[in-house]
Amino acid sequence: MIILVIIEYFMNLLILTFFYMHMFQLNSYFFTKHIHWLFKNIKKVILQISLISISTLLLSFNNSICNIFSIIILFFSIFYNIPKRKPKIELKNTNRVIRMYITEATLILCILIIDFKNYVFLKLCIVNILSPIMCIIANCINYPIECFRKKYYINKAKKILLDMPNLIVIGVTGSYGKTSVKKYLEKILEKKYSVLTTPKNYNTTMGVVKTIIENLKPFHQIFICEMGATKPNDIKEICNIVKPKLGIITSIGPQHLESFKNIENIIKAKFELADSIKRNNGTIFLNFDNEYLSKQHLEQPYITYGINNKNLDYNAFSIKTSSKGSDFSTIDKISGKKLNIKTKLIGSHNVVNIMGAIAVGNHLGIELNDIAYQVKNISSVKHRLQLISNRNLNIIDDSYNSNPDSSKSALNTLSQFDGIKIIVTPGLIELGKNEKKYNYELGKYCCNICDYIFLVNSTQSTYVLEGIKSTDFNIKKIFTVNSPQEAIKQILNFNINGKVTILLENDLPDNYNL
Amino acid sequence: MKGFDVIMKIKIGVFFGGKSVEHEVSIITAIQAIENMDKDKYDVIPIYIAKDNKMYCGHYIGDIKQYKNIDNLIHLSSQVTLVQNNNKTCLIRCNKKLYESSIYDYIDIAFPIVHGTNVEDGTIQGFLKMFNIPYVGCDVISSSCGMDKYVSKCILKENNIPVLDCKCYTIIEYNKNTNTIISEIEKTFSYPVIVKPINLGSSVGIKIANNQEELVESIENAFTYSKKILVEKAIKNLKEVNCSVVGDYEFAEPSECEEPIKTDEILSYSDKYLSVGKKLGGSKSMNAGVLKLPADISTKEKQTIQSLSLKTFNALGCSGVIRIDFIIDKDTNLIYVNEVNTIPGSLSFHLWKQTGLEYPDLLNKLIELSLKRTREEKNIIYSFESNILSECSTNGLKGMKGVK
Repeated sequence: MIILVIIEYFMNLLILTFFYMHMFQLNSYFFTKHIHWLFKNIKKVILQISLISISTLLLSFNNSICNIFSIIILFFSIFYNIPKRKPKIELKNTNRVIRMYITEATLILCILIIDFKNYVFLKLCIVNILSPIMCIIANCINYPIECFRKKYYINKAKKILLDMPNLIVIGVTGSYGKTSVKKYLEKILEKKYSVLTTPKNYNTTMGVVKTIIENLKPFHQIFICEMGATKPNDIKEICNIVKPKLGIITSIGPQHLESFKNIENIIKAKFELADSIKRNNGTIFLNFDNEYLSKQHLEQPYITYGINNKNLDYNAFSIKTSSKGSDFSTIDKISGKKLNIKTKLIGSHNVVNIMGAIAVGNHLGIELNDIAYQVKNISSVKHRLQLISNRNLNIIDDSYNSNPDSSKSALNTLSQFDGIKIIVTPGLIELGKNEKKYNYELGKYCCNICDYIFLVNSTQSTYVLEGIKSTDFNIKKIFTVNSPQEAIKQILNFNINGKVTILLENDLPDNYNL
Repeated sequence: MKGFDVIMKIKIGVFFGGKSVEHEVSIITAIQAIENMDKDKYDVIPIYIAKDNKMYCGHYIGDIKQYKNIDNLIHLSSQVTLVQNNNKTCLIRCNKKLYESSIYDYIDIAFPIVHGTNVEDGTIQGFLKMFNIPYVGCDVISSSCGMDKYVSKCILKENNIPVLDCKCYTIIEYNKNTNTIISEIEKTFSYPVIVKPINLGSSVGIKIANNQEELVESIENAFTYSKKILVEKAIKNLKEVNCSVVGDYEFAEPSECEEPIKTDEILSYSDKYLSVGKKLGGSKSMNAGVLKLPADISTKEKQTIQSLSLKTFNALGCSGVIRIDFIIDKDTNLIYVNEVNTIPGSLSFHLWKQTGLEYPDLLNKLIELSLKRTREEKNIIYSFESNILSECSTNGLKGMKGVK
């Protein structure tokens, strides 16, 4: 009997440990973010703790009926804690995670060993209750080791870069559009140079360092480095390692507001790149289509790009966008000739992104004619307004990290498609205090464009719903689902004749809806 | 520490030798090339492929004098093999000693300088490709098409490039119906005819037959080198002219033309290489002793040859440096493409020197072309990122196909 109880305790502990480690990883190992998240999901945490506490309490009566009850409650607790859904992003067992497990296991052992044979159940109960914050404690204990390791790798990367004095580093940052601009720029520069880019959306210090150590080869001439920021000084840290000669700020908008607090801090963070470039006597490229960027006054060489503004250095005009792609013109500064550029990419904000890449490519000596040829062959980046066509069904996959501006732009793109237009969205996240406001506006905006609205269950989607309800949109055309996949299944069951276009706007990570 | 010591150099692995009749020629070409590489930019690692296709690295591998006694050289060197390790292509020691590290070195770019069947014919290119490493020169398909004389003739013919008509036979066909084949040859061509094994370069196994007796003899001789042979009409009064091309599908340029002087009826293996084989290590090309450079041809002929060279280069989809051998029939003044060398002896550097491109610059250019090709190949979709099998059961999107 006792053995059974102990096994149950351990099983419960194991499941909880894995689960909270997974969540800790999704919270990017941030102390505050994890605590914040725990408070948001306090109901679940309390339920988990109380299940354990009750069963321990029952055990203390030392009565066989209570014991049986406690076994049943523990069993229920285990069952409750087993993850029901397959996670969208699995827990990655990185070396860091394994080191944390080791620390956690040592801690648990220490607790259990104190006063060896007494209070066994109480101690087991305590370790179970502590499991939600166990990963934080382990992280704190491991902090010096992690710092040391980080420093070691940073120095290694710095040394590699020092050995390659001819390498041109281009920093790409911005609230959104970084990954797209990076990809487009890579495509253009490949015409003439050997280019290395940070893979996927590796944009943290360690991601950049890892890329340098593992992928940078001596024949590379250009390194395009995506720089992400979730808090001030993130970009400065990366810049101090890679020392960029050129940089692009793709946009500034209300993103990661939870950690930045206000837009001024975001602007400051992004301009850490400009400061670094100033020190390296380089040039910064700015998207003047963005209101926050065009208002900035800089005392350093800069080149502007954007659309429909004659005063810019690189300006796209007569833009025609359709469901088939985009088509625009620009002026070749050297010859003064007008040049027509075509692309398969949809959405007008992609034209802005392409202009950024064109500006840098041209600056590095690639002729506009060659650039136009390369742009024609650019294909869309996964999950970023990626068009998937299938006979009468078009899916616009824009499920990656959405923000108010680009979701509006995505909706505008949706409006260019013929036939029935449907949006599938759980709402927007990481917007801090303004979360409610932006989601409300998104709801209102959807009503002008979409024929049907599918809301994926979440806190944010209730704000979207409020926005929709403030208009005279037919309530019968709003559906609530548990996942985007479910929405698509339902849409397929409608058996609609004619063209259907579905916009998948944003997808929430696992730690957002439980 | 000196300033240039700290700069990271590109590690070039030069592969040479191989199970081929032109083994020795390739050693000479490779070591000449290694001597001419820009050492400020490149860190050269010579990799010797022995006649049993085992690869060796070591201190003495780059020293031409050591090749007088190859067994001793092999004894002094370590056998290596390529392995993909993280993002690097490493040379791993096969028989490592206790105190040695298993990794000998790594390479960023491979530079195959090998001649002849079993290596130049796409074999080494395919081998290198499997390691995801940029390699200099033609890709697998153009190398193998260039090596097979019959296939290259077909491709060139299809592209309206003049080649001599030919007949192609396998050893099986010949053994079954020797007489029919002989009479067919006699019916199609008049003597003298030339018999070639299908895939060897450097004139190995090629013989001219003036009558039936010689024909049978040369056919049987050719079959000892290859399972397939080629018979074509021999041009009695001919002039051989060679022209090299450097570039890729986007931009290529032809070199000055050279004219090898024939000592025997056809330029033989001994003419081509052995006559200068002893003067190794010098800056002279291997065939410098027996050729006229520039060729003794009219400007118009030169222009035709250069434009045909470019057409041939593009028809076969070559890249890097190749040499095309032409035959001019002096009686009719017709020009024919005779042969394509996807890795020419000495990399035809003497032709390029005459054209105004020094050897180190030529090598630089070839290396840059290989990087360009790797970049471009990266952009073509060869495999799909998502595993289709994994989506069969879990992904709802699959159902899309049913929609009308």
